[in-house]
Formats: sequence, C-alpha cells, structure tokens
Amino acid sequence: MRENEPAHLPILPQPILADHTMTPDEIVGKLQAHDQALERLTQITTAHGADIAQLKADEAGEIVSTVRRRLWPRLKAALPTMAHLASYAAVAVLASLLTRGCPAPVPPGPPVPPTPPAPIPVKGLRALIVYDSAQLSKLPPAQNIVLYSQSIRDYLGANNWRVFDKGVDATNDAQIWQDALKRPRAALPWIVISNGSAGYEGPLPGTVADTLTLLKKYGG
Amino acid sequence: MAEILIHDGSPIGHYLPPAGHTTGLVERDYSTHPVGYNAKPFDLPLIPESEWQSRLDAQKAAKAQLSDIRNTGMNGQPIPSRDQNGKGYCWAHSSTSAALIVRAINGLPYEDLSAFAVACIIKNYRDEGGWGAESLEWIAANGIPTSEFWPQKSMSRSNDTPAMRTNAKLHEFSQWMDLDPNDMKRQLVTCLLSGIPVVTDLNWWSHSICTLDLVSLSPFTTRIWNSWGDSWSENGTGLLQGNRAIPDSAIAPRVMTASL
Repeated sequence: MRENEPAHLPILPQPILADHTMTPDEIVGKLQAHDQALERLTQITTAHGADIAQLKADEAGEIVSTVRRRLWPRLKAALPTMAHLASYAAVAVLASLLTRGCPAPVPPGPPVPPTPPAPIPVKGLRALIVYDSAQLSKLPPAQNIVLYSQSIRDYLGANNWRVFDKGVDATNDAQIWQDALKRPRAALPWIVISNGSAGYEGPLPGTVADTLTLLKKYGG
Repeated sequence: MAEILIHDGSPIGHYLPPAGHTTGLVERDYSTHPVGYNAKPFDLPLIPESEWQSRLDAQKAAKAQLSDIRNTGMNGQPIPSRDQNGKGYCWAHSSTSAALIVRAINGLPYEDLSAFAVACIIKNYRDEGGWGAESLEWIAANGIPTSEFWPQKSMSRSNDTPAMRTNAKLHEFSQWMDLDPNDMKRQLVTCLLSGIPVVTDLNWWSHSICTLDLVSLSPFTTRIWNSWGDSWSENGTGLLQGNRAIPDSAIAPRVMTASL
C-alpha cells in the first residue's frame, strides 16, 4: 500500500463509477459515500491482503487477469449474488488504483485462463528442436529437412536455436538450453519456441513452411 | 574455381596431393577390426532406393545439405577446412571435420577444433597413418581440444596439459555407427540423405576424408570435405564419382556433447 492511503481500502459499489478523468481523491470521495459496500470490500481485502500486496508489484496490464485468477474462485464461492459481483469488479479497479492511481474500467466477466509462461525465459526468439538421431531416416522427408533447412537457420539467426538429439549431453551448453531440454515432451521430433513472454511446445511441424509460420507467429 | 571432380577414369595426377600435402590412410583390416569393433553397427532404417531421388531433390531445394550447413556454420561464414599440413594425419582430420559439422547441425558456435591433438597423442607424436574409426574412437573417449589449447599443425608435447584435456572433453562423440562394407552404398546414401556426415576411408586414394552430400545418383556422385586447407578444389570440398565415392571403411557420428 502506498503512503498516505487509507488503511481501510475504499470500494466502488458500481465499477463504472471510476474513469480516467477522475483523480484518486475524487474517486475516494465518491466511494466513501457507500458505506455498506466499503465495509464489504474491507472484509475482502483484509482476507486477501497478501494477494493485493503482490498485485502492487505487477504490471497494471496483468492486474486484471491476476485478480481474476487468484480471487475469482474465492469470490465466486463467497459472493453468490449480483451485488457481490459488483464487489469483485471493484477489487479489480482498486488493484489498478493501487498500481497506477488511474484506473481503467473493468467490466465483470468470466475468468480467463492464465497465459502460459514462456518456455525459455529470456528475451528474444529462441527455438529448440529435439529429435531421435536413430530414427532420422524414418522421418518423413519434408520433416527431416526442417532439421537442416537454411531458411529456418537464417530466420533464427546465430546462437538463438539448437537442434539436439534426445540423448545429447548439454551440461556444458548455456543454462537456457539445458532447461529447455528438461521440459516434458510428448513426442519426437519436438519443438520449443519462445519469445520470452509466450511460446509454443509441441510436435515439430511437417514442413519447412509450416515451421517458419509457427516461428514467425512468435518471432514476428 | 569449380570443384575438383574425381571419377573412375581420372588420371592419378588429378587427385595427387598438391605440394605440401599428403594423405595418410592405413587400410583398416576387417579381420582384426570387424564391423562394430569400436562402435555399434549401422542401425538406421535404410531409405528405400525408390525414394533417393525425390529426397535428394528436396534436400537441395531447401539448402539442407551438410555442405550448406558447413558454408554458413561459422556465424554465417564457411567453416574453415582443416589442414593436415603435410602430415599423414588425414584419418584424424576426417573425424574432426565431421565433429565440426555435427556441432554446426546442433546450432553450437564454431570452435576451431585441432585434429593434431588426436593424431599426435594416438601415435605418440610420430607422423603415422591410421584410419577414421581409430580417431573417432579416441575422440569419443577423450574429445578434441580447440586450437587455443592445441594450436593447429603443432606436434609439441607441451600442448598435452590438464587444461587441454579438460577442454577436449567438451567435444566428444557420444553416438556413432560403423557402416558395413557389404552394404556400403545404401548405408552411405541413407546417412547423407538423413543429414549425417560420414568419415570415409578410401583405399584407392590412401586417404580419409569427410563425406558431406549426395550430389547425384546418375552418375553416382558425392561431395567430400578434404583436409588440405581451403585452397584445395573449391573452398576445400570436391566431388567423387562412381566407385571412387564408395568408402572402403566408414563411420558416421550422429551425436556429440554440446558445449559453448
């Protein structure tokens, strides 16, 4: 919580009450008129104080999805009426207030699944292909060529990719490749693509063109 | 300069080592070193001959041959050819060339691996010949150092230090196959169309080189990577045709330790 902010957090009885033109003080002034809702939200924020504190450290763009992911199941169970849904939305706006001081209205909605983390947690496009060298000649020809294709190598650039046999000893390679190799695989050949914020893990596409399309989806 | 083409009718002068170079192959004796003596026998499913042409065409169209990888394997530039410098160490350089290709396939940064370390230690610093599988076996157990730890062309015993040994261990073969002379052509083609370099011993040339590509089926032609420096033929690679392209002994490394 920021300095000079009230110890008991205010609530918006209707989420639409706050918009970008209002100062935090104006919003707080309006909020204080709604004592009952304030009391209710105080109970919620007290119960989930750790979550709110964590939210303050996050980027504002992630706040809403985080609130939904963390609090929605508990709120849903605790607040069966529509009035409580309004309180849920207020929590999202409040969290945004705490981070930015300038909230974006967030209508209530169903929870969305969290975005999967990037499989290779470094900035920039990376790709790892894992294959079984004992089965190289059994791969469909068009897929075998993916492992060696000049256009894929050119697109990825030097040192941003690896093509490894499943049994390779990579203990002296960079940690990101060691970690990527340890990720679970459901089949071979397998590809891991990451741009640092999102990624793909799955069977290697069957052609160079399809592989490039997939890489460009994450690499731009 | 066009690549040198060596075929069954080529005069001997066409492929003799240029001044300052030599070969160095000792023919492998299969009675004492049978198939699989230091490696598992060839175990890839053979690619049917009916598929060879279409696979070759697709490989070329996608620039997915091993020579394509060699030509861009050093930060977009060609990986330099090894140079055995007039010593009879072709058999260690052919395996080392294959190691450079395997690393490039893996996407690992170029390392200037020094085959002289392999040959000098195996032969106790004598200028002696050998065969490809002999060096590959040693590399699998001990690795190859970079030129930082064993300078290219050096035969000094002072290079053999603990630091050199530690560095060499970063570059070991971990999976390789011994090709069968009784089925050599089909196994060779399966390797090349699958993207596996072949350490190739040629008795007619008394030489060991690394075969990179299948170039054509009719006439049967392969592209080899020699160890006579980049000035030989076209940037160190040449073409073998007909029976000249069929190894007498061959070993195919598939996997190496990965290291920066």
